[in-house]
Amino acid sequence: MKKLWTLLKIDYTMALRGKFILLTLILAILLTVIINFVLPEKLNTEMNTYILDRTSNTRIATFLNAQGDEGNAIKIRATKSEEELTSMLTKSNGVGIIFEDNRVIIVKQGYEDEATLNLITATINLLTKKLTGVYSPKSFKYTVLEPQSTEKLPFNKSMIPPLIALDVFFLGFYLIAAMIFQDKNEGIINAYRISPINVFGYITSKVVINSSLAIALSLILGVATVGFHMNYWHYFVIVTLSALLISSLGMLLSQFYNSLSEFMYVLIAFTLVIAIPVISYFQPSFSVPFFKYIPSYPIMFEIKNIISSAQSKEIWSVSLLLAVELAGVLTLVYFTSKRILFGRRRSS
Amino acid sequence: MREFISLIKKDITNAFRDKLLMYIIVAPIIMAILILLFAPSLDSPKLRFAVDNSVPHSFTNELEKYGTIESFNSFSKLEQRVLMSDDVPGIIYRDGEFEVILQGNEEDYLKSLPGMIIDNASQSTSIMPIEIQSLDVNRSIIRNVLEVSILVIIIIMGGAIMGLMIVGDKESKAIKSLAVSPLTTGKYLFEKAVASVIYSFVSSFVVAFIMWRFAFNAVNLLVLIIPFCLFGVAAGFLIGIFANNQNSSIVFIKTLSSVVIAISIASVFVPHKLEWMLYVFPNFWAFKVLKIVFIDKSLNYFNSFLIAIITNSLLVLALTIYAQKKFKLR
Repeated sequence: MKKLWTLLKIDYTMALRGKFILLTLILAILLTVIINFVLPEKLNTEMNTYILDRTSNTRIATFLNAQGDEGNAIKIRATKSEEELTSMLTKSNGVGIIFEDNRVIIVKQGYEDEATLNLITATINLLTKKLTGVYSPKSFKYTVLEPQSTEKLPFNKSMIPPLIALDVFFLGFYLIAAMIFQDKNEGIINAYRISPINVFGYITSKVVINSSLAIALSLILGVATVGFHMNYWHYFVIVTLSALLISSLGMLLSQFYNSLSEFMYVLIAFTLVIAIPVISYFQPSFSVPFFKYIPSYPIMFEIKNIISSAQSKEIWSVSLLLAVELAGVLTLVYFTSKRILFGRRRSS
Repeated sequence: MREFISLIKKDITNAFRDKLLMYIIVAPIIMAILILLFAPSLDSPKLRFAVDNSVPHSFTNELEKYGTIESFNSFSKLEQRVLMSDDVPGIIYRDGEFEVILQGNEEDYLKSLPGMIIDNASQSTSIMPIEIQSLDVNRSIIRNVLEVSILVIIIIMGGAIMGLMIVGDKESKAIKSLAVSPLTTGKYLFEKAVASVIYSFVSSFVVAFIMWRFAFNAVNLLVLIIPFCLFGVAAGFLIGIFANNQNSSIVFIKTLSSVVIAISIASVFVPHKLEWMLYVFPNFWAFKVLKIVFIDKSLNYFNSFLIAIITNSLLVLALTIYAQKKFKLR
């Protein structure tokens, strides 16, 4: 225990001298300013459908205006000419629909799949049926399992989970790698080999110090942006497990490289993999099964649940999943460190 | 000129020795291939539906036209699926009636979608003929943004690697031995900058070719590469001049990357009347060029392009002057 305490003190001094703590504070201020003052509270991210009504008496436009956007599967925006419709389509991800008296033209971008086109066709079918009075609604009912979860997070607050998962936790990932390279290049690991310090103590000290910076940053960010209106106990459990996991992954990967230049691309590739589930976070209907195995996926959704004060049923299952992943990664770190860093072969 | 070539030779030899060259050449290609494999799925995100076995097969077949079906043989399992983090509505058939199961926090369009499909399935014959025209756009804006972001990362990486090489020279004391050679600080930094610019140009064209084959506009790509190359050089100089070891260089990289992300977010969301607050950041102008050319697809980029070149060049120049005082080579 005494040896571990000494190692923690050494690594803390290294973090302090390396301006890691200053960096943490700079990031806390930067992210707080972005969330509180730069990002808007409301943002329309839905796909638009642009309509051009060429029917006699513009009956489609009149009907759509009377109906409004409420309850439509597709958000509809009216245009006045084909040029305007094409111009809007060029600038956005939407599709266009031109209504004429005897036909309907769908103007697609070109990359849409069959399912999207089927959805647009179904919308047009129902719309024309409603207009001609031949529509007979099918009987079905809705059941909402969590009516209390219908309240939406403001857009700026909804950016907190991806920023924490992609920027804050990576603090530990970056910094632990820097410490490992420093230890390798300055021969510190060679000195540890002939000292009473064991592999377990070395790993624990590095992971704890670097994760604690990410945890501190997450807590500062939580207080500065959300205030005290969330369950900080749940928040602390998730950010601690996540920060430990990402820092351990940083240690696992950085051992195989000798310098930051070599490691840069691994770092970027790893960041990209971790960033992929952000697409699902902002478009939850875009669900790819393998996303669930990328740590950032459950982390982002769980932090979102916590900051929106939703009654999350997954907090403990997500915590368990992160704890199991952490145990697995730490085991790998232990054996690889023993072989690569503390083994007979020289590390650098 | 001879000194210059010998310096480039030294850097290439070092890069070969450290296997760094292999990473630098191979890594962007691997990243491009990964994007090539993954990006098409962003064009048309596939919807998913959780369907109970009680639902008639004819309706399940109809539903498959709109997305992927996940089948469940019990209501409790279907309920668990609906309650998961992603937005997957459930559909069951009870007492001769369809029931749509939602969690409650789904996007508005997804709440009304299952009902619309149920409605349409029972009366799918079209009243009016439907024709389809295509604008022949082959990628969505989100895919475009992702691919261009990868290019920007690769362009700036050239500068960052150069910065780390300068830090390496400082750590190995190679820079002290250069101080007794006829080399000036300006020449030393110029050699590093040229190597980084050549790398950024070559790697970004290779990556663009892998991602887009011949379907890209070389002029547009150059308009993107030039300001970001200059910004990459400035970022590399910042790292190389101010960082003294691996630890401090990673602090610089993390701070710089966070500032770059913050400026790019701000350039999208800051209201037009407050945009002047960002004018001082050279990377804001580079992002403005990116937005005009690749997102708005406009040709009106000249002014922003020019300001991006001027501001980034001034930053490179200021850092070079500062480095001359700090490195004191000659």
